Amino acid sequence: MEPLIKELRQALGRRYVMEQPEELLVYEYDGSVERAAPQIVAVPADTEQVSQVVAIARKHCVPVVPRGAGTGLSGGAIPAMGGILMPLTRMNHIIEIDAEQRMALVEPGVVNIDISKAAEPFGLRYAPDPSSQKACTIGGNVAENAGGPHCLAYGVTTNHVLGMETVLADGSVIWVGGRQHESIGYDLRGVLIGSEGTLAVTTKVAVRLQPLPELVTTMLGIFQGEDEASAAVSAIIASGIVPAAIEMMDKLTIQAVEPAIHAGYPADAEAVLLVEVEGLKESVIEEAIEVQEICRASGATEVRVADDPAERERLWAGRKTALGALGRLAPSYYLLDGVVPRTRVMDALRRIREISEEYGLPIANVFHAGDGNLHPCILFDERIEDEKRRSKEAGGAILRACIELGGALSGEHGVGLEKQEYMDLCFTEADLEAMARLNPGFGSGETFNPGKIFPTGASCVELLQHPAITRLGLDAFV
Amino acid sequence: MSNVKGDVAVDVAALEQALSNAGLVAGANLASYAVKGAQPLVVARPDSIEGVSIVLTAASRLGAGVIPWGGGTRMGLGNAPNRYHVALDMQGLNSVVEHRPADLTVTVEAGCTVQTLQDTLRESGQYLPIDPAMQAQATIGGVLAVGTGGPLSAAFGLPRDLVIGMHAVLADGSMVKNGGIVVKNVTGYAMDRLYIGSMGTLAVITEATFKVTPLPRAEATVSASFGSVVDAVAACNAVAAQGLPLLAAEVLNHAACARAGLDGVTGKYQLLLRVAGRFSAVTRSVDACASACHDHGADAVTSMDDAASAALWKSVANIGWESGPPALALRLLGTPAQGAELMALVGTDSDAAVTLSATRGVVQASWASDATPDDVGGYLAGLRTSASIMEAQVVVESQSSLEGVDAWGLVPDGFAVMRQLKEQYDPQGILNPGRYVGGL
Repeated sequence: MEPLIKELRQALGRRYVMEQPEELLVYEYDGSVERAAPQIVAVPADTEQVSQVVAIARKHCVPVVPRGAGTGLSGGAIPAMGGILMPLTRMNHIIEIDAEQRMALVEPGVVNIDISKAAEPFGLRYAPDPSSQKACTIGGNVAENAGGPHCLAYGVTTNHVLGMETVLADGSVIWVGGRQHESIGYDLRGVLIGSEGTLAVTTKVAVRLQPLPELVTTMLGIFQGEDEASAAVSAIIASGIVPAAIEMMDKLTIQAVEPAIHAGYPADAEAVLLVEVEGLKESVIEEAIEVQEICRASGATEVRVADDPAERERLWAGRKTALGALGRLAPSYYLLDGVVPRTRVMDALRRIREISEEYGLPIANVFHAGDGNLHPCILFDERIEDEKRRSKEAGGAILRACIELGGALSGEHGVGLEKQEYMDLCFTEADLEAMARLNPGFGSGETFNPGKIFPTGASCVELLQHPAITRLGLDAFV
Repeated sequence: MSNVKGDVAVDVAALEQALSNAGLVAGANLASYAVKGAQPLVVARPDSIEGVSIVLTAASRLGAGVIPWGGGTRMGLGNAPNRYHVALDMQGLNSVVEHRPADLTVTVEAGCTVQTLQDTLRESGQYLPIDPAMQAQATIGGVLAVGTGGPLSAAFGLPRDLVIGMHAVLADGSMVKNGGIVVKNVTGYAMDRLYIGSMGTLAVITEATFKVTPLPRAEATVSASFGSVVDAVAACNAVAAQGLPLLAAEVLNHAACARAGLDGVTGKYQLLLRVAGRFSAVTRSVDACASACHDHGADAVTSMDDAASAALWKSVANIGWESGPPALALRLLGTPAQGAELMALVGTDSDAAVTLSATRGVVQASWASDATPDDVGGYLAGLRTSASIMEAQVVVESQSSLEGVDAWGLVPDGFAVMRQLKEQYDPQGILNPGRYVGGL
C-alpha cells in the first residue's frame, strides 16, 4: 500500500490522498443502506489527475470507485471491493454556458441545481431534477442516468447529455458525443450514461439547456380513495395532456405528513395527487382548468391551485417533506424504486398492501404516478433483528411484484449493490452476458467500481438507518 | 463464392440447408438485394426472433457475411461490403406487437414500416415523433440501425431518445434484451444505445419499445424567405430561446424548396418553423415566429395551418428521396453554431437540394442523377477539407458506387473502444462487414 499512496500523493498532493481510518470513515456510506470502507480516498482536481489516479491504480491492481455527492440510493458509490475511492467534488466548475446554443459544459462535481442557477440569468435551465438536486452532482447523475419528478415530460439524464469527456481504465481521455447533436460511430455516450461508474470516469459533461417555462401551475387534489386518484391520472394522460409532473402520496404518508407540517390534508384523505403543468401561458391556463375538472370528475373532494412560486412551494411542501415525516413513524426505513407501466400502478399498490400485511410491516407510498415509478418505503426497527430480516424480504417481494406486473427493478436509483441479486428476475443469462461484454469492450477489467450491477450470488445488504440521510435530511432523496 | 472481390468461400449448400427452417427464400431475386454492386448467395426472410437467431448462428458457424435489410431505403449508406453471403430480410417480422395507449408506449417488430406503425398509433390519437424519409418503406429496425434524425429531432431528440426497451440477436445467435415497457428504467446497462446507430454491425435489432406522444390538437408552419442562411438561423435561435412549442426548424435552399413544392419563395433561403400544441398556443407562436423572422430581415413571411402544415413537413422529410434514394446524398454533422457555415459549404452554387436542421447543426444535401458533381470524389475531398477545419464530419448517405472514396471520413474519438466492442459482439466480423466507419 505504501508505494501506491506515495505515487498518488506525488500526483495529487499530500492533503488530497487520505488513508487514516478516521479520515476514511465518512466515505463508507452513500445514500443507500450499504457500507464498505475504502483503503484510500484520492481527490483529483482535474482530468489529468483523474487519469493519473486511474493509471496508478491500474498499475497496482487496485480498483477505483468514482463518487459524486454520495446521495445515490443503490450503493453505487460504495467501494464494495475496497480500493481507492475517488470523489470528484473538487472538479466543480461550470466551464461554459452557451446561451445561444443552449448548452452548458461543466465538470462532474457540479451540483445539479447549480447548473440551472447558472443558466437562469439566460432564461434557461437543466431539466432533469432528482429530488436530491440540491446535493447530487451531474457526474453522479450521468453514472446513474438519474431521473426526478419532472422527467415525465422531459425525459431523464440521457436525453439531456450531449457528450462527456471520459477517462478510460488505461488512463486515456476520450470524448464520447460532444457539442454535435449527431455524430458517427457507436453511441458510447449512451452506453456510459447509467453504467454506474463501472466502465469509465466522467470528467466533463456537455448538457442541453432548455428555456424556462413562461408559466407553471401546480395543483393539489385530495381524494377519498387511491382508485379515484389513479383514475384521475389515467384521465389526464388520456386527455392528451402530458404534465411536467404527476406525484401521488398514499394514506400512510399523508398521516405522517399532516402532523409534521400541517399541510391541511383532511384526516380522512386516502390519497393526494400533485399535478404540475408548465409552458406557454396560453396552454398552461387551459390545461390547468382541464386538470382540475378531471380531478373533480374523478372524485377529488378538493383541488388547490397555485401559480406563484411561494404558493406552489406550499403545495409541494407535503410531498417534499414526506420521507422526513415518515422517519417519525419508525426508526428505520427501506426505500425502493420499482417501476411498473403507469396503468398497473393500482395493481402494484394493492400488491404492496398485501405484502405489508404478510410481513407485518407498514409500507408508505410516495411516487411518480405519471411514469409508474413507485417509491415504497418499508418502515421497521433495525434494532429488532426479525424486523430487519422481514423488511428485506418484503422489499424482495415488492420487486418481484413489479416485475410480474411488467415493470422493472429500478426507475431511477440504479442497481448497484442493492438490487444486483434480483437482476435474474428480469434478465436471462444471455441478456446479462451481453451486458457483461461491455466491460472488456471498454477495457475496464476490475478497475472501476467492481462488484456492482451483476448478481454475485451472495447479498451483502445491511439495512441501517444511515448517516448520509442524517446528514442531508430525510426529504432529499425521493 | 459471392461476387465480392476477395471474399471468403462459403458452402452454399450448407448455408441453404441451415437456413431451410429460417425463412430461406427459394429462387430469390439476388440482384434486388445488391449492396454497392455486391450480391448475396442467399436470402433469408425469417418471421420470428428465433428465425433470426438460426440465421446468425448458421452464419457464425459457416463464416458467412450477413447484411440485415429493412425497407432497403438506406442501403446506399456506408462503404461497400467486403463479405456478403446472406441477405437477412427483416420484413417478415413486421407486426405492431402491442400498443398501450394509456401507457403511451408501443412495442413493434423491427421489420414494421414507420408508416404502418404511425397508422396504428393515429387510431388512438398518438404518434411516434420520428420522421425519416420514405416512411412507407423505411422500417423501424432500419431507422434505429442508422440512428439519424429527421426534422422532428429538433423537439424530440434522435430516435434513440424514444426507445425504452429492445430485443436483439447478437452475431453468435444469442437472443438478448434490455430495458422493458416502462418509461423510466435504469435496470442494467442501456444496451439499446449500443445497437442503435451501429448500422447492424453489432447485433440485429428485432423488436423495440418506444415512448409515444399524443398528437397535437393544432399545428402551423411559418415560412419566411431570407437573403442569407445566417439571418435565417438567427431568426430560428430567437424563436427557440422563447420556449415556444417548436417541433421542427429547417432552412431550405432553392432546390430544396422546389422539391418540397413550396410557393412564395423570394429569397435564397427559406426558414420553416413548425409549431404545435393547443390552438391558442399555436396562434401566439405563429405571431411570435413571424415577428422574429421580420426582426431578422425576412422579406416574405407566410404561414399555413394544420393539414397544409403537416403535408408540407411530409415533403420536407422526403426532400431528395421522393422517388427513392437519390443518386448522391451527403450529411454534414457540425455543432448548432456551425450550421449556417456548413449549409453555405454545399448550399451555394450547387445543384443539390440542401436542408439545415437549424437548431441541430445537421445539413443534408442530395443530388438527382443528372445533377451530381462531375468529379464526386474530388468534390467530396474538397468539402471534407473545409469541414475538417470546423471538426465537422461529411458522411455519404447515398450513392451507388464510388471507387476509392470512404463514406465516413475520419474515424471518431474513442474509435479504439468501438473496435474493441466490435471484437466483443461480433468477433468473426459477420455483421455488415466493412460497411461502417473505419471498417467496424
